[in-house]
Order: sequence, then structure tokens, then C-alpha cells
Amino acid sequence: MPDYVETINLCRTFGKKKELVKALDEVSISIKEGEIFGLLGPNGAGKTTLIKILTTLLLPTRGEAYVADFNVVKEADRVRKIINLVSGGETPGYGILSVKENLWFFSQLYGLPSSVAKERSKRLMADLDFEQYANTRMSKLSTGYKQRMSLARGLLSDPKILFLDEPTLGLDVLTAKKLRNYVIDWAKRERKGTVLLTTHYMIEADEMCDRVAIISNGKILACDSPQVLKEDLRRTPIAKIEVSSIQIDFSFIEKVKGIIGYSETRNIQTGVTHLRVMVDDRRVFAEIESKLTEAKLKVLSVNETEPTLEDVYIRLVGKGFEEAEEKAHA
Amino acid sequence: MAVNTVLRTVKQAVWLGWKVDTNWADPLVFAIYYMVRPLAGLLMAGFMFYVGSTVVDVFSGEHFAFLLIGNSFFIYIVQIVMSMSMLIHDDRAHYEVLKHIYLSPSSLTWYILGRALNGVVNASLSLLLTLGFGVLIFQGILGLPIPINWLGIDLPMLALTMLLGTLCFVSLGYVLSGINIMTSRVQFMLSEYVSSILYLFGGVIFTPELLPSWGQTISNALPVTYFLKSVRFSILHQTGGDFQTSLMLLSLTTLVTVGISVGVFRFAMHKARKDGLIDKKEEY
Repeated sequence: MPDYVETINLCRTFGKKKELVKALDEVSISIKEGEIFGLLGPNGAGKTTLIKILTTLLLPTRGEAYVADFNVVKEADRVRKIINLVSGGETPGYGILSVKENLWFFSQLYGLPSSVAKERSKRLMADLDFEQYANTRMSKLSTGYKQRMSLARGLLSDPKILFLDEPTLGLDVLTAKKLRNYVIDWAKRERKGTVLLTTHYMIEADEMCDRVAIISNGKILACDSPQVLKEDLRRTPIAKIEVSSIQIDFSFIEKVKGIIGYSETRNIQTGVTHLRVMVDDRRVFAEIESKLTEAKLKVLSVNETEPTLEDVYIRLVGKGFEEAEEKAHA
Repeated sequence: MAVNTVLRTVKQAVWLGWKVDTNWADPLVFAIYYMVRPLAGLLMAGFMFYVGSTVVDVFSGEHFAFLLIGNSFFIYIVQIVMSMSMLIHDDRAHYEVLKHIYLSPSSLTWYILGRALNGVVNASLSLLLTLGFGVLIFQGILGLPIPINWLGIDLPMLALTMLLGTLCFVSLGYVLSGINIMTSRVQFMLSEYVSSILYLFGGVIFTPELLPSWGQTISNALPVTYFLKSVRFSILHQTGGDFQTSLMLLSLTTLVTVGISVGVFRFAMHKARKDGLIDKKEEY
């Protein structure tokens, strides 16, 4: 299959000389036609910047990018005819118009004949279960239904390439699952379209993507199918450790010899911190446990676990998404 | 871009503009809202003139007509320019749809011009109602002698003036749209500043000849000056220069404004893409 989306040494910087931020640093990826390709990384990793360049919203500082062989800088008009973009957590249209009116407006911007526009809007609303809100003002919809409408707007033009930027951000589990399944169905069976998805949800990347690129600080660190990426970690011991404190700074465990990386998730409601620790030898877990006990922390459980995509990230960066985001904000 | 694509974009933009303008209230509330502001502006200026005339005990019908026409037609200008200036802010920050319109195969320029056309229709209605109510109140109720012969209006000349003026003010709105794409901080102030300058130097309530020489230089560079002069020639047949020169200068300044607007907007779109401003979220 030919490369359908390709970037070659793509760079993008923001800010002026003294405070120059590299959002993308020599990014080279290629996506095949019909593939669901994921960009996985924490907030601020450069995912949205890459999508903005590929959808012609932003110019790169250096490098080249092609969508269906069209140069995104020089042939932006041709790119726009075959793509659509759906972003999570944003208003999908004019709040003052009804859902049906919004879909009609966008269908006309894409030049759909009236009959096709009406039929397709109706079908998308039915498929995504919000037909009952067709005449409701968009502003009155809940977040979940707004996002369904956003996806319908994105699919209305029947794009060859669909860009999804954190499409399930802030959605409940069921709605997120429904949208994910619908996109998979659209890409694999109905349209056979190509999808570029950015996400920081592991499960989303795992469930949806044929291949995933892991991005951090604007650099692609690894790129392969989720299975292959995780397979590389099969022999690396990983444990979930539950500690009954959310107040303490756990960075002291980094000093334990043999630790490859760790991530932490603090649950404010239960007062429990979940540590995910990757080590080079199983015996290191006991040492970590004793360090935690020395720090007067109660260790609730230590369980070895199967690798996830976040572990791939931890293996590459040494930290989890949340720590990387905190570091970026600092 | 194909003609049918352009027409479809413009048609949808007009429809959308109408919906966005009117959908928020019931028709009566909307009509009152649309009437009150321009009419209040006209009445304020009219009553100031009227009170001043009463104090000095001299009322000039000709001057009053000058003010009435100037104010009413200035409202037309302001409504077009303001609606276009606010459009970018609304679509980008409030509705968050600007990027989706930009990413569609339709042209953002034709979309903006379609929305402008909606603004022109609204402004025309506003102008007719303001002028009508102004005459009704000042002439019909207060009995002021306003020397306007409604049957003697030079309609072809007025139509030509309105056509040129509208093209000019839409272009001016297009400039402000371009500036608003580049910055997200001045959308409210910008149209206020521009209309204040036009109000002061454009011969809205007094002739530009009363301005100091530097002020007259500014006035002579503004298309509004020639637009209002030409309107007054058509309606009041007021002298003080000749009609053809005024129309010619209006055409010339309009042409310059159109040229500037195309340049500014192109530059703005390039900068917006370079700096990632098309979907920039504002932080208040």
C-alpha cells in the first residue's frame, strides 16, 4: 500500500529566540491508506501541532508533509477537499442553530447535493444515536451528544482521511466506546478511510490503532503496532504497587538501583496512590517495597502485571504521562 | 473556484447570518433591539441640535437635514463595518467554527462576503427605519421644517452612490476582519475606533470645511466623506462642490480601499497559518 500521509523531518517551533519551544522535532512518519494510525503522548507532546500542520491550519517551520501526495503547504486547497477534522472538547457548531441546521450548513460548505446532504445527515444522526435531538439547539446538548454531532460533522463530507484530535476527551466511558467503535467501523468496513488519531488514552490507542507512534517533546520515540510495541516488554518485570498516601513525593524511588521507570496515579477520593514500576529484575520490587516502608508508607499491594502502551512510554522516557505533563508545565 | 460553489457559499453565509442575528429572540424583541440603537443615536444628535437652536432662537432646516441624512447613513456604515469586524471573533472564539469553515473547500473570503451581504440587508432596513422614524418624530410630531423633497430624490445617483459606498464599507469591514484574524484583543475596540474616526472626519454632522487644515486632509482621504456628500447631493441637492467630482472621488477611494482590503486579508491569512491563529482560543 502507498503512503497516504507522510511527513519528512517535520519541525515546528513556537516563540521567539530566547524562549523558543520545539513543538515538533524532525518528525518523520508515514501512514498507509486505510490505516488507523495513532499518535500517543502526554499533553504538550506535539500531537495537536502535527495534526494542525497536516490539516493545513498551521505552517511547519521546516520539513515537508504530504497528504494523499499533496503538499500541505503548497497544495492546501487540494488537501482540504479530501480531509476532515474532529477535535474533542470543543463546540461542534453554532449553538444558536439546531443540530440539523448545523449539519446542513457544513454539508453545503462541502458542496453536497441537497438530497445527499439530507440523507447522510439523517443516517449519521441515527447511527450515532442522536436523531431525537435533530431539532434541538446545539447549545442545549450534553457534552457527549455534542461530541457525537462533532463526529457526524466530520464524517458528513465522507473524507478520505479523517483526523481525530483527542476525540473522546471528557466523555463518559460508554459514549467514548461508542464513538471509537463507530470510527473503527467507518474506517475498516464502510468507507475504508484513513484515520490519524491523537490521544493520551492508552486503551483508545490499543483498541483502535493498527499502528501507534509514541511522541514526547516533539519527537517520535517509537512506531509500530500496539502488539509489537508491548511484545518488546514481555520480559521486563512490571508491577502495580498500591500505597496508602497521596501526599508524598515518590521521586525517591528513582534512586533504587535497577528501576527503569515509573508512573503514579493519585486517587484523591480513596487516598491511594497507584505506582506502576518497571524494573530490570524482579528482586528490585522487594527493595522498592522496603524503601516505601522506610518512608513510613503503608504498601497495600504489589502485583506483577502485563505491559500496556504506557509502559512502552515509561520504558522510553522513564516517566509516565502524568509526570511528563507535570514536568512540561513546570 | 467555480461560480456555483461561490454562490452556494454566499447563500449559506447569508442564511447563517440571518439565523445567528435573529434566532436569539422572538421577532418583536429582535425588531425593537434592531431599531432602538440606531434610532437613539439619531434622536440624540437631532435633539442636541434642536435644543441648541431653541437656545439661540435660530433653526436652520438645511443644517438639520444635513445632520439627519449624515447620521442616518452613518448608521448604515457602522452596522456593516461592525458586523464584519465581530464576525471573526464570534466564529473563532465564541462558536469555535472558524477552523472548520477554513478547512472546508469553500472560500473563507466568500463566506465573509456572504455574511457581509446579510449585514448590508440588515443595515439597509435599519437605515430606512431610522430615517423614517427620524422624519416622523422631528417633522411630523415636533413640526420642524426639514427641506427634503422625497419625490425629488435623484434615485439613479443615490443607487450608484449606495452601490459604491457599500462596496467600500464591505471592503473596510474585510480589512477589520483581517486585522481581527491576526489579533484577538481588539475586536471590540477596533470597530469603535474606526467608526469614531469616520464620524469625526467624515462630515457626518458638520461639513469637513469646519475642521482644521490637518483634519481636512484626513477628511479628504476618507471615502465616507465623498459617500455622504454624494448622498446629500442625491437627496438634498445641496451644493458645495459638484456631484460628479464627489462620485469620482468616492469611486477612487473605494478602489483604494478594495485594494488595501485584499492585501491586508491575504497577509492576515498567511500570518494566521504561520502563527496558528485560525483556531486560537482566547484567554480572558
